[in-house]
Formats: sequence, structure tokens, C-alpha cells
Amino acid sequence: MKRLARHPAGDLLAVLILALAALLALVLPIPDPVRAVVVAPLALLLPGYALTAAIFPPAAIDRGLRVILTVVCTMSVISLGGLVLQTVVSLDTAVYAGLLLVSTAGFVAVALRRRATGPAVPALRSRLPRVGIGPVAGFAIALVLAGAAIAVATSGQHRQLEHERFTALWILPRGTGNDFSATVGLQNEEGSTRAYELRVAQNGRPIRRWRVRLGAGQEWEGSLAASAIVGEAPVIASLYREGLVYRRVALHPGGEA
Amino acid sequence: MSASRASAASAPARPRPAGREARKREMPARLSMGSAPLLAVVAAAGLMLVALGNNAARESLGSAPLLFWSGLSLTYGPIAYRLLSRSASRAERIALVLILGMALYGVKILHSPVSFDLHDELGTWRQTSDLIANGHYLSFNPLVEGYAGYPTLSSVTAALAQLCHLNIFHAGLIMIGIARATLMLALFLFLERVTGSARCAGVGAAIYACNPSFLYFDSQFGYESLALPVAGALLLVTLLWTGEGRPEGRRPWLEVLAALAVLICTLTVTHHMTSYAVLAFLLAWVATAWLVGGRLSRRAAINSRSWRWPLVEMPGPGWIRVGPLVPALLLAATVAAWFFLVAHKVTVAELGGTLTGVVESTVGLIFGSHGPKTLFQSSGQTNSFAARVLALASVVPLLLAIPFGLWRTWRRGSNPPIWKVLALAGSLFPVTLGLRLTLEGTETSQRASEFVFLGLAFLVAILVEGWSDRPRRHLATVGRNAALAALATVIFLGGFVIGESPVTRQPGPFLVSAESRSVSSEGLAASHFAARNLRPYSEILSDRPNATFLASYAHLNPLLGYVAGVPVTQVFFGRTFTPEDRTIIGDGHIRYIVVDGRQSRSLPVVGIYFERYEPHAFAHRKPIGEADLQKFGFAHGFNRIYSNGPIVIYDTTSLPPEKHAPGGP
Repeated sequence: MKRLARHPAGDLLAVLILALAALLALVLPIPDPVRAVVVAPLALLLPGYALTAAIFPPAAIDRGLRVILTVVCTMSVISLGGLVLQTVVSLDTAVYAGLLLVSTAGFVAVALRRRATGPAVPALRSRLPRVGIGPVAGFAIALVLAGAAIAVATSGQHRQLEHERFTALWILPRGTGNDFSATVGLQNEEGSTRAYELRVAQNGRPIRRWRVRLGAGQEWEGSLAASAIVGEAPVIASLYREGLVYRRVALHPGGEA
Repeated sequence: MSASRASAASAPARPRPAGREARKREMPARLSMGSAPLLAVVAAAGLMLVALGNNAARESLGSAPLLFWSGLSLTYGPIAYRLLSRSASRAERIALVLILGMALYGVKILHSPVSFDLHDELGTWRQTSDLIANGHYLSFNPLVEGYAGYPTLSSVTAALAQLCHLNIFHAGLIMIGIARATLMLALFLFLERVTGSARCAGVGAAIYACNPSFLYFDSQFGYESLALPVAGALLLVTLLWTGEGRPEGRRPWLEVLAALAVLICTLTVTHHMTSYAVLAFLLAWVATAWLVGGRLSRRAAINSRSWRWPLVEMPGPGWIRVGPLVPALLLAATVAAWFFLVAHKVTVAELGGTLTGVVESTVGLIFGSHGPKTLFQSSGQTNSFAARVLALASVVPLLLAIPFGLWRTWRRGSNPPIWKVLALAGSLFPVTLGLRLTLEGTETSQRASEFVFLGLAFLVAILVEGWSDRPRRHLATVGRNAALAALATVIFLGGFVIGESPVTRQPGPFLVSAESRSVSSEGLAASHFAARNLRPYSEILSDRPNATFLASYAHLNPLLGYVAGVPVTQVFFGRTFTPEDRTIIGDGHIRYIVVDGRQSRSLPVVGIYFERYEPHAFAHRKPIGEADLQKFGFAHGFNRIYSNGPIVIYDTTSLPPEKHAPGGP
């Protein structure tokens, strides 16, 4: 690491190593969180850093502007590169990875060539600035506190959403013509286990009856046979709760699936 | 601490190994963060108060506003105070500016920490989801038409989500977070280079954060949030080109031109209004440089100030080196090419109606055909007296700063042109306030604030710097800075009052047509059902909040505007289902109609139930009738395929042909 930091092109070599690590993380079967951490620099920083290095040699611009250009130029590579590529291929993970890896390698090559042929300039320091333990601890506490605030807000929103209780009922067509049938479904969002009675009728004629017991958050679906549906009259599914009609849906036979 | 240092200094020097000395010399200097870590903790504590306040608001508790506003003040005020101080180091100021930007981004996350729930955010969600599904840019967007022509945000989010196996929500949060941090850094560096003072830059960044859009709108998952840092980077590189501000040595012109080209292309495909605003700014800069440079030449007041000619060594005639002429021309050509070749339809569709409305309403206001809008009132939502006072108290200091700032920047010809252009940009602030006198102009005023506040931030910063030049006693300095920080906090809170409707500042119980306040479990369940079971990309008719969810999560296309000269939303108004309604459904190829029965409970908070072209838009006097919404259940041919209580979905495929459409109940 120290040799890499002292090397005149240490920053560019580090970029290549990180890009290679991202490539490996993309092709090897590793857990998603690890993949996200290893690949994120490729999607957020590396192409932009390489492009900035290809344009501006070390010491040409200050560190702050280089940081900004690193972020924005990565967006440029994805946005403008993708704009060109999508005219010939469909953009997917492989295409994005190829675009970012090839552009990073290409810009690094240009930057290395410019450094080799240009006037001698001091190398970019690839080490992070030193910060004392106290400030690091302060920032860590702030991060933990901010994370706790997000956790509190998240639980608050979940509580609010869970406070809204309901049961959903649906009926959907399946097949067409003589094969026309239907599916009825239930979703229990009442926050506790509920017992339901579902009656399906056509033109006043009962077709099917179910008694369903669903836990909180559970779904259920039942099928109506094609043979049970006769004529053009709408099929009506009524959901009863405590003896009263609670929900009702209806479907005209022959409708599109 | 100081005692131990003193004793260490007075102790006889012990010989140290040469290697250790060498290593110490090689180590980078320790950054002086000053009080930044402590203030980061204070800001995080402010976030905790905001989170608790939001939870209290969700349960309609009386403590909600106190917790929320205290949290905002705690997040902003102490950092503003420290940025005003003369003793903070540059590194500390940069850290504080970043902490401020990220903490205020945290406030936005705390508002909706589980999912995106703003209209524009879900529009971007749809655009990104379509890109992931189809692999191609520029797909039609039914929620925000402009997104179809400006693909940067959707493309970078899609790339991050696909490469890192993240969902769109988390990828979007990361992208906007990075954009926010980059914007704050770019803002600091820009103001620092222009003014030559890190203190000015810090104060300016704090004032910029007071713009009414900063807290929520510019933090949302929308293309403008990403365009602002790109614009910041472009302005910084333009400073390299012109050599204005703090000189940094000469550059080969091709290097700067290459960077300009990359940034200009990126900005052009990221956001229309930001690229137009930057173009206008650059053109004004060119004009000012031309005027000021010419006057100076006539006076023979030639000096070596670096701003007079570009720092880059570029061949060509002299006129091409006036200010940022080359960047302006490049941007103009790129914007024009993108507009005419790719994005003209979606840009005109999105901006055309808004701008026409602004012009018409402003002309109407001037000539008396329209009365002014009631200030501090939005579609029946009225601000409290305290909020009005806060809003006014935030505007007055900024208005007062403008003439003084203009005088300070324009009185001396030797001030660089960028100073004068920034002052002019800041002086547009009263104009944007005037736009708020009309309903149509309010949105434009809001959207202009992130550009106008760059100038205001500069004006306020140089005034503060000039005013506090004189050395004072420590106590007086502390008192003055505390007063200024308190004033800045009032400006920040008042800006938020101006920019955000009273009902959407905090989350809370369900409200009819109230953007994020209309998110409910029933609505989310209906959209998830639709995503699993309904045919994607079908045309639907729905109210605005449900249409937003259905268009994003279920990839359905809400139909807006007119069909055969009749507003499509006419279908919802009226107690019976008429042949005209049937014609609209047929001609509009509407597959599904989604009805939210809760609409009949109250007037729409944002003034519309469905869209701006609906009957009585922004002028509803009574809620839509219950019978109006229930008529589809009685009309022949509608398949009532889904019901979860308030929300019912009807399928229109079994409707009889148009000529046979019977009446309602």
C-alpha cells in the first residue's frame, strides 16, 4: 500500500485495482452486501476519477474540484455512454459493467500516457487526510444518532401504515370464450387473523362458497371453474364479515384476461 | 492540553530515529476540523427531534410542530453561527457546509423514510424502472413528461441499482445524497473562488440553503436535484476558463475545453431548466465582461487582474476571449441541438403550459382581469399567523440586502464581472416574489429560487464579510454573530414556510389530494395488486395520488388532458354515466378506472382531485359527490375487479359499444 501511495501513478493503479475488484465481485457468487460495497466505487467514482485524471494532470486543479469532477464525470460516463450504447444494445448489468470498466481502463491509459509524456509534476497523494481520534469519534456519534433518527422515523411510518386496517377482495378473468373462468382473491390487512365467508353467485344463482381464515398480511386465491359460469350475466363475489356484506366485486363473462 | 504542550516544548529534545522523522515528514498534515464534529452531533440531535416531531404529527399530537421546528433550528442555527465565525479553518468550513447539506437532506429522508411518495419522485421511479426493464432511454413518462428527454438521473440510478443489486429507492437515495454533497462542495468552492474568502463561501452556502426549494424539492429523487451539482461543476470549470476569482495558474486551453465539453453535454441531457438557467447566466456574464472590459480599456485602467482575459492560452481573435463566451456558445449549441433533435416535444409539453400560464396570469394581474392570489394561502390551506410572520421576517432581510449588495458590487469598476452578474441574479429575487401573486406563477417562483439564491447567497456573504471587517471585542463579536445566526435561522425557517404547503411540511394522517399526505396502505395495496394483475402500460383514469402510484409501481399510464375537446376527467363528475363519458373512455382507450371514495369526504388540498384541466380545478367549492364516484358500480358493463374499501378498480373491457351506452342508476 505504501509503495502504491508513493508511486507517481499510484492513484491510477489504485483505480485499476478497484475496478478489477469490482469486476471480480460482479462475476463471482458473493453475498449482495459485499458485492454492493465492492462494486459501488465503479458505479459512483472510478470512471469519473480516471476521466478527470486524463483531462487534468496532477496539480492542474485543486483537490476539491477534482472530487467534484470525479463524481460528475462518472455520471457523464454513464449518461452519455449509455445514450450512445442504447442505440445498438439493450442496457443491462453486463453492458453497464462493460461501459464503466472499459471507460475506466481507457481513461487511465490516457492519463498514464499524458503523465509519461508531459512535464514532470508532483504525484497526486492518494492517502486520505489525517483526522484525529476526537473528530472521528464525533462524526461517528453523529452518524449513529442520524441513523437512529431514521430508524425512529421508519418505525413511525410503519406504525401509521399498519394502523390503516382493511381487507381487499378481487376477481379476475382467466381464459376467453368457452374457457372463460375467474379467480377470486382476498388479502387480510386487518392486523390480526380474520375469518371470512366468500359467496360467488351469477344471476342470483350461487356458484361457490368458501370459508377462509387468514392470518395478518396473508393472501388467498380461489378458482371458479369455467363450467360454473353460464351466460352473460355478471359473476358477483360478495365477502361477508359478521354476517354482513363487507366487500363486493363483479365480472362480466367474456371480458379480456 | 496547552500545559502539556508547553511542557513538551520546553523539555530537552530527544534524538529520534531518522526513519521516524522521515515518516512524520511524509505524513499529511492533520486536518483541523475545529467544532465540526461537535456540530455534526448537534445537527444529528436536531434530526432526532425532527423524527420525533414527524412521528408525533403522524399521530396528530400537539407536540409535533414544536419538536419539528426545534429540530430544524438546531440543525441549521449552530452551523450558521460557526460559519459566521472568523476563527474557523477552511477545512472546518468545508466540513460544516457538507454537514449542513447532508443534515438537511436527512430531514427530507425523515419525511418519507420507507419509500418515495412525491409525484416527481415516483415519476423518476417509473423512468428508472422502465429503463431497467427495457434497456433503453427516453421512454414515455406519463407522470412527468420531461423525464423522457433527460435521462441522466434514471440512467445513473439504474446502473447503480443493477450493478449493486439495490432497489430503486435505495439507489435513488444514494444518488441524491451524493448529488447533495457534491452541490454543497461545488457551491463552497465557487463562492470561495469568486470572493477569495472561505468565510464568505461558508456564509453563502448557509444562505443558499435558505432557498424555499432546498429542504424538500431539491432533495427529492428528481432530475433537478442531480442537475444542480452538474451546473456547479460547470461554473467552477468556467471560472478556470475565464480566470476570474482566485487565480490558479495557467492551463492549456484544450484541457479546460475538454472538461467544459463533458460537463456541458451532461448538463444538457440532465435537466432543461437548469441548462437554460446556466446558459442565461453565462450570457449575462459575457455581456458584463464585454461592457466592463471595454469601459476599463477606454479609461486606460489596465491592470493585471486576471479576470480581464481568459486564463487559458487560446489562439483566435480577441473577442472570443471575452468572459465565458466559448462555454456559453458551446452550451447554447448543445442545448439547441438536444432540444430540436431529441427533447422538444417533452420539454414543450412540460414547460409550455406552465410558462404560458405564468405570462397570461401576470398580464391579467397587471391589466386587472385577474385579482392577485391571497398570499400564504394555497388551495384553502392557510398558514398560521406565526408562520406568516416567519415568512415575512425571512424575506425582508434578503430584500434589504439587495440594494446594498448591488451598490457594493457595481460601485467599483475593478470588481470582476462575475460579481456583477451574481448581484444581478440576486436582484431577481423581488421579481420571483412578485410571481407569487398569481397561482400559476407560484410554482415558477419556487423553481427559480435555486438559481436566484446563488446570487442572493453571494450578496449576503460579501455584505456580512464587509460589515464585520472591523475588529471588535470578543464579546461583541460573539453577540453579533449570534444575532446574525439567529437571523439566518429565521430566513431558513421562513424560506421553508414559503416553499412548502402547511399540510406537507410534516407527515400526518391521510388527506384528500395532498401529495405525500395522500399515501395510505389502501393506495399502496391497490397499486401492488395492479402491478401483479393488470396489463402494464394500459391507459387508466384515476385521482392524482393513486395515479402516481399506479403509474410507477404498476406501470400503468394515467390519461390526462383532453379527448375530443373534452377533459377526460369529466367522466368522474356527474351522477350518471353518460354517452359522452362512454365516448371519452372509448376514444381515450381507457382500460381501467380507479376510484377513491375518500375523495368525497373533503376538498382537494392541492386544489385538484385529478389534474389541472378538470372541471372547477383550483376552484372547487364543495367536495366531489359520493354518487359521482359510485356511478361506475351501477352502470352496465363495468367490471368491478378490485375493492379494498375506499379504493375500487373498474375494468372497462366489457362496456357495450358507445351507441348503446345506457344511463346510470
